[in-house]
Amino acid sequence: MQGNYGNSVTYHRLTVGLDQRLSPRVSLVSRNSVGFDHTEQLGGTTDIFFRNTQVPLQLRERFKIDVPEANLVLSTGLDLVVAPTVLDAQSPPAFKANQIPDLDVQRRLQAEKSTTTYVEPGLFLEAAWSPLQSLKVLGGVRVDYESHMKDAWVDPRLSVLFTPASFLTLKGGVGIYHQPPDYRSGQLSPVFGNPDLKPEGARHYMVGAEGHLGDAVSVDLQLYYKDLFDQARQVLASGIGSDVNIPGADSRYSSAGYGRSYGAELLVRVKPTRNFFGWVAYSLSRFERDYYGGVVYAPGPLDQPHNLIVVASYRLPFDFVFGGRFRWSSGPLVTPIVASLYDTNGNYYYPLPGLPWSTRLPDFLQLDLRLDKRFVFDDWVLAVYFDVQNVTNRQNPEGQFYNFDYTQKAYVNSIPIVPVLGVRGEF
Amino acid sequence: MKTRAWGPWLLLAFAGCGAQFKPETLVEKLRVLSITSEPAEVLPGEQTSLEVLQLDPSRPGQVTTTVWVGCEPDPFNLGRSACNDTTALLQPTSFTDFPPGVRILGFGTRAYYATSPTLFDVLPPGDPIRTNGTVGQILAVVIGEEINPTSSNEELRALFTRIEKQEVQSLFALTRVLVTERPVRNARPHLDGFYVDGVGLPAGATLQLRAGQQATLTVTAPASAREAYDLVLPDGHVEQRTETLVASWYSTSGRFSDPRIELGTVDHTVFTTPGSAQVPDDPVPDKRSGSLWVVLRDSRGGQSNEQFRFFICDSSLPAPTARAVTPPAGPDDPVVVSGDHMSSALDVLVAGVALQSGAYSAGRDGFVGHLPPLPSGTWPITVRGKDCSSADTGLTITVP
Repeated sequence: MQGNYGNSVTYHRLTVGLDQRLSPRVSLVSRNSVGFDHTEQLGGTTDIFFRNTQVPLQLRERFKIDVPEANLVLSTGLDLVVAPTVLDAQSPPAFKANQIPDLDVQRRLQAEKSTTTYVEPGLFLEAAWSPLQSLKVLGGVRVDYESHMKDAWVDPRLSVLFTPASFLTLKGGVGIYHQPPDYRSGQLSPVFGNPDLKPEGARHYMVGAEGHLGDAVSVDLQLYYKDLFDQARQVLASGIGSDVNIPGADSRYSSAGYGRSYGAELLVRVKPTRNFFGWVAYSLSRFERDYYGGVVYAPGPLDQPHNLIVVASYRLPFDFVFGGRFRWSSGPLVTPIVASLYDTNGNYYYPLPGLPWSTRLPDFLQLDLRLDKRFVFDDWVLAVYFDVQNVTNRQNPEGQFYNFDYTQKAYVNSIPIVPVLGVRGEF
Repeated sequence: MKTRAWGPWLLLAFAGCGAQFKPETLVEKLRVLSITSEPAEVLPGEQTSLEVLQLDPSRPGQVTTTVWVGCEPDPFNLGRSACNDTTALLQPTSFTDFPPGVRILGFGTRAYYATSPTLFDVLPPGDPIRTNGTVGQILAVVIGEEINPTSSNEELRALFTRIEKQEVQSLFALTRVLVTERPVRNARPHLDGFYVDGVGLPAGATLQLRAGQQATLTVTAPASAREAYDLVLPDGHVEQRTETLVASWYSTSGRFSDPRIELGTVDHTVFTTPGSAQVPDDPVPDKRSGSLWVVLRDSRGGQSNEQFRFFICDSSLPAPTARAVTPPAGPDDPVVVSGDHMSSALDVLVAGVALQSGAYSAGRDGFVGHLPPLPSGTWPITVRGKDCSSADTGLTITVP
């Protein structure tokens, strides 16, 4: 058993675009492309490979229709992807989250050789209507079909912007979004995945406000909630050997996955002046998904409750500019390893995980400072800067790693203090 | 306007990478290095003998017990069993509920395992799984205390509860036994040579090494150990393949340049002995002695292992000089080699093979050991010393 890991992607596109006003009220935006893509992955042994060749034809035709007497702008059109695809793949079944993998993969190989043409048409209609000067309503509906799944779905969306006063705009929106499961990872494959999966869905809700505090400060606040449903997720191996005699019980993926994300985003901007520039962004968020075959529902690796960025710079006398950036975010979540098992065939320790994503590493804190100085000559400008990243030399953990049997661990830290002196010439 | 940047120049290099863990080759605590199964591949219903190589230098002289848990193979080769179910392994008391297909195989370093003779009956006659095989998964639960092999199920449950609560030192090791209907089944691989700096180590002898020495250790396996076998590919074609062999190294002290080597590609590792200035946390051990293990694995689950003792030579000791040999009076009697400074003898070779269980005996004022199996004849005697000396004594012994 020998071979190499490898990954190559070849990507070509020929794109033709056309912007044409068809009448005083109707215009066409057309973007069309044809491509040739080839992806090849080798998986460490000559037994594991994935080769995919596609000639995708992509059309996007959008008609914009202006109806000024009704303060209405309509957009409608077609998105179409036709992608003849040749697949040649061989690999063992994907390892299950609750199963210690058998590394003798050659014994359990599966193969798929297929030529399929994916046809994915999408029709859409959008309307931007302003019945009042202070009110704007954006509505739309999109109908998609996916030939491989033999499934279609309808996604309606609506958002409203209301400006009751010149310094305040209120906004809100709802929408449904769908997408096919990730066929590139084999989720729809009849051999490696489940061709009966449903399209993955999400419902989005948003409310917010934009306002101005005097002339100097603007504030943008949004609250959002996303409800994820019909998400593809891996099926666990049967528990405790209970169905070892049930043939074909390995359905690999199901559409039973679910999750949600919600939070708030705040952006405060100070209007730039001759000497000062700065803004503050803060987000408070939560991302939760089902893990481990749906047994656990908890914050996931994308969950980062706090994220604060403060940026400011000030112009000093003699063409000096002093600036800084401060970042604070919640530490990444990791899955703790609570025990391990020695696999005598593979000669390695397999980590036995605790609750997925249940341990948060310390917060990320970093202060960067920078001093710029410009020397202006007759024909050119010399700019010199001194930039110090992570001024406090804080050890910010980005992950953790273990010793061979998972009885000891240590952090993988991000950059230490990094002072940089730079010189730039502008002619 | 053209812009040209001369820099940035990094003024401070990145700091070093932090934690350094001890290597996996270092055996300092409860460890399992190998589980062998003989035969390595079985027919449905055929029995195989399992043996675990377990060590615990942290508890010298104390008892370690192994509880063997066997799981019935998944005939559909999907690996479904409690033995490799991480949920079950995190709740080991679940094994004492004996879920379907799970049974206790026994206690101790050895156990026997057999699958159901009707394992493949659910498969059609030509199913590739019958040729490529499925695996029987077996857990060796190694526990750092003495366990009564006649324990009742309640006592066993209490033990696994303590393991689950980590109240007793334990280690789970998983091994897989290949189950096929192949007419020619996998045989365990084995070594046929061990060399230190290019010189073959006499059978049963202790390695003579110097503190901080970088010794090249080479192992060889016979060509027959790399067996050819048939594999049914997903498209139905049968391909003949040849096994690969990987040797893994372990020791009680010292460091290896390559913890594992694929024989035929690389055949040696460099062993930096304890006492090297390059490895400050690896001093010469108290008794200047230690052990090496090499575990040989083929790519189909066959394993074997061998242990070698080593001694870090002490140049302050005098070289032993043998002056007389007393042959055994009976089949159970030892050989006694006496002379000057025989307490400095590391081992005694007869016909190039070390005396078995050899050691210096103050009572007999000589080096005492049992004759290894040798053909009849008169054989020379060599004494190897704790000062790294090795001398032909001029003495001989006659094996009737």
